[in-house]
Amino acid sequence: MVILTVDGIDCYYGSVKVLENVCFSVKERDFVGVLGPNGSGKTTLLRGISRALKPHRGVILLNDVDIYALKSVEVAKQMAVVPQDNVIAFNFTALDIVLMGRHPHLSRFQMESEKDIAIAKRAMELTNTRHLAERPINELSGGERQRVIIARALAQEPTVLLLDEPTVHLDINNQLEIMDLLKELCIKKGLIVLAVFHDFDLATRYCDSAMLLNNGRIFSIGPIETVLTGENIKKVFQVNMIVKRHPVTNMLYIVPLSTSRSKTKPSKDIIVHIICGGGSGVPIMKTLLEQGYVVTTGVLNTLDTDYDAACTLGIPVVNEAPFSPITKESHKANLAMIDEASAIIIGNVPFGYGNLKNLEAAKVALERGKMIIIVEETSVHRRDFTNGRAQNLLRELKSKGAIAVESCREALSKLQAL
Amino acid sequence: MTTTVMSANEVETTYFRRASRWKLIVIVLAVALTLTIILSLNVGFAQIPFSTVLNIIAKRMPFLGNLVDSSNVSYVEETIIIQIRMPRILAGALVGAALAAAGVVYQGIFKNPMADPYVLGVSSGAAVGASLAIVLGIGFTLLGVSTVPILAFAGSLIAVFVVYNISRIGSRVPVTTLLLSGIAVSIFLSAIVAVLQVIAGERLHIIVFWLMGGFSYVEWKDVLAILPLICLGTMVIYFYARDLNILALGEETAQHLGVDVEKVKKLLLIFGSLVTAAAVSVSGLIGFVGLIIPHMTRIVIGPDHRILLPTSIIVGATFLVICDAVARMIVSPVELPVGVITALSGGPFLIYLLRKKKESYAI
Amino acid sequence: MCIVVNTKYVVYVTTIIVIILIISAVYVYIYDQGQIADMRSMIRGLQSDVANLQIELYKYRNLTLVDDRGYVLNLTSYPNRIVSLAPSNTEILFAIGAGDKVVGVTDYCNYPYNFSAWIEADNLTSVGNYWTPNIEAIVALEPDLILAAFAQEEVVNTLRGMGYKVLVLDPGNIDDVLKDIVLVGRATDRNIEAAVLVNNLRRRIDAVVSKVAGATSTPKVYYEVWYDPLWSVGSESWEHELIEKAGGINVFADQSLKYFETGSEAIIERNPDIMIFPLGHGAGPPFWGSFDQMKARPGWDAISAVQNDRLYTIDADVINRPGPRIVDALETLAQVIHPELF
Repeated sequence: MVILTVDGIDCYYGSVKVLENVCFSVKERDFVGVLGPNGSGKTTLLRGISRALKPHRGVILLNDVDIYALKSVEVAKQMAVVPQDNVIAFNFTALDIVLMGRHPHLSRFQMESEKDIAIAKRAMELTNTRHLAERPINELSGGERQRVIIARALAQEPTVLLLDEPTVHLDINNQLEIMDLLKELCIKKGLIVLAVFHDFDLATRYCDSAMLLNNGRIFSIGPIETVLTGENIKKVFQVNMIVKRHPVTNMLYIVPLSTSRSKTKPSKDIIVHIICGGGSGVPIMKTLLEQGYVVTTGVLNTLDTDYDAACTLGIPVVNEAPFSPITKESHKANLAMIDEASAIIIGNVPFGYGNLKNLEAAKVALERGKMIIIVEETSVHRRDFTNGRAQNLLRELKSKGAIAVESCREALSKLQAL
Repeated sequence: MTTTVMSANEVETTYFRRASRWKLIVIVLAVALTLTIILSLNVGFAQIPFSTVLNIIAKRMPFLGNLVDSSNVSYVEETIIIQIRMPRILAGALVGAALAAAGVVYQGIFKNPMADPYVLGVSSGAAVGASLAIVLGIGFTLLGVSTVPILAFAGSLIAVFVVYNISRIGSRVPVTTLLLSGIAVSIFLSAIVAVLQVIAGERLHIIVFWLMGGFSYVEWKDVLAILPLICLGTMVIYFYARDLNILALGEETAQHLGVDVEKVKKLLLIFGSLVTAAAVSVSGLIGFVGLIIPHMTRIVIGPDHRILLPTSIIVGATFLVICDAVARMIVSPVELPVGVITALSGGPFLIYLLRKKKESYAI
Repeated sequence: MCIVVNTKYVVYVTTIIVIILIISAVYVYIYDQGQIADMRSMIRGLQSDVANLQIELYKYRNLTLVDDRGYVLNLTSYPNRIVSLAPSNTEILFAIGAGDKVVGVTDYCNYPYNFSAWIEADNLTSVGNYWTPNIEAIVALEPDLILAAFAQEEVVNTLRGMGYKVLVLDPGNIDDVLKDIVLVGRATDRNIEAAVLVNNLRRRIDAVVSKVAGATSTPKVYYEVWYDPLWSVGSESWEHELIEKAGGINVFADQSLKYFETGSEAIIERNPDIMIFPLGHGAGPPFWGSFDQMKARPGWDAISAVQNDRLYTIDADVINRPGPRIVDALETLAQVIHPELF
């Protein structure tokens, strides 16, 4: 059982404390993501573990042996590092570079043997770089080079693999391939993988557990769902994000909404009610908020993205249970909100029997003399799942004075009239 | 290297046979060096027929000696070959080897194509030592050994020691700081040399000629003095050839791969400086060899230090032996300074190689 | 018996005894004389042997020479193949009549003969230049004596290390030059010629010195070693001694170096009455260009020597070489400095 324990380390750059009291423990088959904003100490943590920066306090144990007490070579036989930047001074071939990964296993005068070359070959196959073997490293693209470096790390046959943003230069195809590879190796060979990510989606997709760093301390650590919550992200990154499970892959995915810092107080006294759903309302909500309007919205079902957004943005919303049509109570609440509002904006939302009532609410609003703006980015025809009833209603609205616009911005400019 | 794409299997087999290919290259070059040495024994003011030259050498060989008839070889001819030409040629080979080895090491550690063996102040330290010895006219021999090489050697080591200690942070020596300290110290010491030149008065010429570098008066005792140091130094440097390869990945990465970076750097710097100091103490300041030979061999043979080092060493030795032969032949009996010949020939040849390989040579 | 008869008998016997004694004495005397004569001739013989031996010894005893660096050289025979590593040494050798033994000279040797022609005709070998003589060339000549000069320590050490006999001549003043001539004379069995030459030179020197002693003025003299940068001579130099002996005063007599760098200001300020420039034998104009160029140097028109047109050249070889011609230089300088006396 391979265990890497980090116990209470403090790391300094000069006199500046960069990491404080970091404690955690990882074992084989753990694929751990290290996340955090810039400057939170992620790279420093990796450097501390890889022995590039000795902690002033605390100890790091690999299988109960203090890694700082070992010789470089001993550590190198067990730990491999894939750094962020790779500047290679001389024009070695890719195979030369991968073979350098065998260095810790060779004695001083030993030349690489068949076995070493076979290991290198396998590593390059796994990273899809075998065809680059003879090419000088400095002629390769950023992505190819990154994969060669990863192959080198694999050639070391480590038990612990540290990666600092391993996919930053790779295209999406290679990103997934490499991450799949690493995950597979982690499980099959029982590696410990510690990787720094900036990309939350990749992190959530591959990491079982994660640690979230903030200002040099561990803010949260544990299974990835408990670490990467909207709350945590908001607190650490100051960004509003929505974390949901993807309906198809069942993986977490994270969608940024806005930076919470840009929360502006409403400057105008105008209330605008938005009829939306399925994500169509988010841009409108954001823009209006930015412009200082007071926003309300309804009726939305609680699984709807716009509902999440409204909650996050602090917009009063009339909600409804999912997969059920709008109830009388909700409709009444909606109408109440509409009464308060000066204008209604209907977003580019698909209409089904479930939310058709919202259009009727709009009709009521129009009769009560509210300004109605209909945003039609795509034609209604394609969004009508009510056999034409939605289209009829919309046409009626338009004939009775609703303003049709083609974009959010246009809608905004119409609002200026108020 | 050209960018023909070999099949992956082909590539791997070439790697297998790499070690034997390398051994072959080294042997061929060593033979070339030996031939060059023998041929340049034929070069000099005194016209000695080549057969006589061979005769004289053979006489001293363990087995051949008995087979050879040397009755009509005059004492003078023997003296010239054995006492005058042989030591200077061997010194040329040793100095060329040392400078090339040091050049490879420094370029590898500093990852800078402009690095040469003199970059850490060895040359200016030696110049100060030699100039001091010349100015003070500290009787030109001290216990039978000339004071100029001794002070030159001491001067270079002191200069490197100072540069090292200025740049040291704890037990680490950051590479950029080393380079800059080296430059600063060199400039300072060159100024001191200039002052010494003014004080020297009529001995100015001696200093100037020493600085220009040459092998005119090398004796066997000079050769024997530097032989062990240069052989030992280059061997130690070769121990760390693979480490030098890995240093190319960056110091931190090298550390991750198990290279004890600080220890390797220190050792390589120490021995690189030692062999350079030994070379300079005997030959004065010969430029370009330490800078150009590593580049030339790297362009032809690639960056792997396990072959680059032995190749550069042998090529450096051969190059300098040839340059010295030219220097003493071209306007005989006057001798041109060797540094002039190395620059005149080395420079254009390097340019030619760079142009031929411009795409793929990167450092 | 009667004792009366005894008297005649006594006389008789006494006479015989006396005669015997006399004859013995004479005999002894003659014998002694003979012995003495033998001895004498033996002694004479011995004496002449001794004299012969002394002559032999004188020839073959170790001739001990001490050069200007204090190096002690023992010669067991006079040299027949001499290599000179400096023009001054060549001049000395030829001046004392040892020129026939010279087998190697430098490229710069040009007096008293056109050695380049000799070298071309293969009657003489050049060993290269003064600063880096070609050691192979020297060794190839199989010299039994090598005369070196200052600033050739490396060559000298190497040659001595190989067993060659080397003397270093590095005189500091005129007296030392004369001593060197004597030394070379001893080394080459030309003692008489050397003595004659030295006497002659001494007389000439004394003549100059005594003549200028009666001079009424001591003009200030400037000697230029190099221009751009400007180099002149201090009190440790040849030229200084020559100037002073020739009845002048070196404008830089207060500088205790041999040669040093200076500037126009100092020269203008010291205002020499006479300025002397060396004229070499090389191709091209001298380093100071021409007198017109020199006069055109900024500020130099204020110098008295320029204004009075007391500008002279002197053969560079003559003044630079520490050989017999140094006295020629002295005489030339004296004529230049005190034309009224010569």
